[in-house]
Amino acid sequence: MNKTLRMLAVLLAALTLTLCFASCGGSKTSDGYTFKAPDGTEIAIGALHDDVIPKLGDYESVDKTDSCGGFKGQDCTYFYKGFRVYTTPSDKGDVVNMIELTDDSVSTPEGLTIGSAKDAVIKAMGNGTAVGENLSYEKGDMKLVFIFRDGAVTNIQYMAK
Amino acid sequence: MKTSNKIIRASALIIPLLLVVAFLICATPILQPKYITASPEGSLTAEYYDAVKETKHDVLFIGDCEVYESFVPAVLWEEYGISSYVRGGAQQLVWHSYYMLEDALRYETPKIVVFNVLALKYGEPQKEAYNRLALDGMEWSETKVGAIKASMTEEESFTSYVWPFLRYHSRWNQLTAEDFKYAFSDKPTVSDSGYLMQTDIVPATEGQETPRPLVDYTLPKAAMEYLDRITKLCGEKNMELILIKAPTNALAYHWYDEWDEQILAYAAKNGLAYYNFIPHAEEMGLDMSTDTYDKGVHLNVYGAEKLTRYFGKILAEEHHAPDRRQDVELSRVWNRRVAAYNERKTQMASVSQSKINP
Repeated sequence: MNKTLRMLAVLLAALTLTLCFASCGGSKTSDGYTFKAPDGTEIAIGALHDDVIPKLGDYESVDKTDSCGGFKGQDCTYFYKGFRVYTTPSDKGDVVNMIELTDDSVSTPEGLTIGSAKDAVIKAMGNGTAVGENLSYEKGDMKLVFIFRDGAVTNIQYMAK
Repeated sequence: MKTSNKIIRASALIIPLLLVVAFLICATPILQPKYITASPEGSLTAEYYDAVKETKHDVLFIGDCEVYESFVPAVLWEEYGISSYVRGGAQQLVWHSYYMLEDALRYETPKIVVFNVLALKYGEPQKEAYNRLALDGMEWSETKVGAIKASMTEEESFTSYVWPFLRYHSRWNQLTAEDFKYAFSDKPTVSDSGYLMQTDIVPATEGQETPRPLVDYTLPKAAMEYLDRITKLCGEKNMELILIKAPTNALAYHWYDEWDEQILAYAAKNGLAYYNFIPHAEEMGLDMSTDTYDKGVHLNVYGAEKLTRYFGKILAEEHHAPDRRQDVELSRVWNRRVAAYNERKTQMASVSQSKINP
């Protein structure tokens, strides 16, 4: 009788624990490449919106999009001179999910910018993975992408894998 | 004495188990989201079954928000006598759409299937929340099993679809009056034959920003394989498949020319019609200062009616979608649906107006 009750108690406890942990997840923070804005703010993929956007000061414009499905939060794109920061809602709040460099007023910590030659990118970053004319580099849970036209960088993107 | 001990022992096991089962049976319908006020998109899948039991449809739309916010079956009936239904959902990916079609074929075989191509940009499951919106309301069948397996993200488990309590137990502190009210009774319909109405007007802004270039414009293999499956299924059932791209083209959901070229090539290779409505927005009379409820990402009802009239003409004239207005029984059903649509439009437009002039 006692053994049966103990087994029942264990089963119920296991069921309770299963229910408690089922569907509970978390979001990851990047440990890969980071971008340093002209004002010195370092931005990583996965960083909290509130740790980044207020520090960067005034943006030129912002594009905010509600999610389909009526879920809380908005996907946002903040436009700054030379770069854009994309944020998206997550379990822990809005997080940076992409950084895009759009002109040569900013550069990566490796010194690469829009207009850099492909040879310079390979010299600074290594061979990477070629996707057509473009190059992609992975580190941690994110990747850094260089988009080329006629042998020169036209766009640089930091994004989650 | 021995017998009574056995009964006590058995009771000690069975009664707690029965209590747990009874709790789960009662708690699950309360804890499951009702998808009425919040995220009504989650009701779209289930609403189809009552509609198709009422009448069959000649045209079936499948796809993401760009179908359920863009095409109005009530207008297709009124203007062209076309009996249609929209089986779309929020971020309904191509495998969702494939299984929505397969699921619909359990009840009817439409003459024409219209698929919106934007979702082809996704090659893998995106968010569990969208899977739930699409799949929770699907009737259990072999098709639903396939749909769940194709759609699950890495963090999801099949068991949680079978036992929704495993997924929704944590909602206990978010429950609203709606959760209790509709736990054991019928919910009001949120859509009009799958069209989810929006009457607000929030104009699109004229931005100078260019869309982000992509490292690779190739549409994902997994997505194209499901498009192949849709094409094959339509062929097998003698249904005409029409590919479309809704006329909206916001920065966040940009439709790239490189993608369009791939769809054009696919359509040509498979002998399909493909209509990209983006360059025809002006021709159909769309005005993104009045015809969108979210700054140009989706159409509101005024924009959707314009697009529907435009496409209805194409469906009728070029694809011979039948005009069923002479069918007395079908007319009775559709006249009621049209009346419900108009009533909803009047009510919602009034609420939208009151937001502008409180």
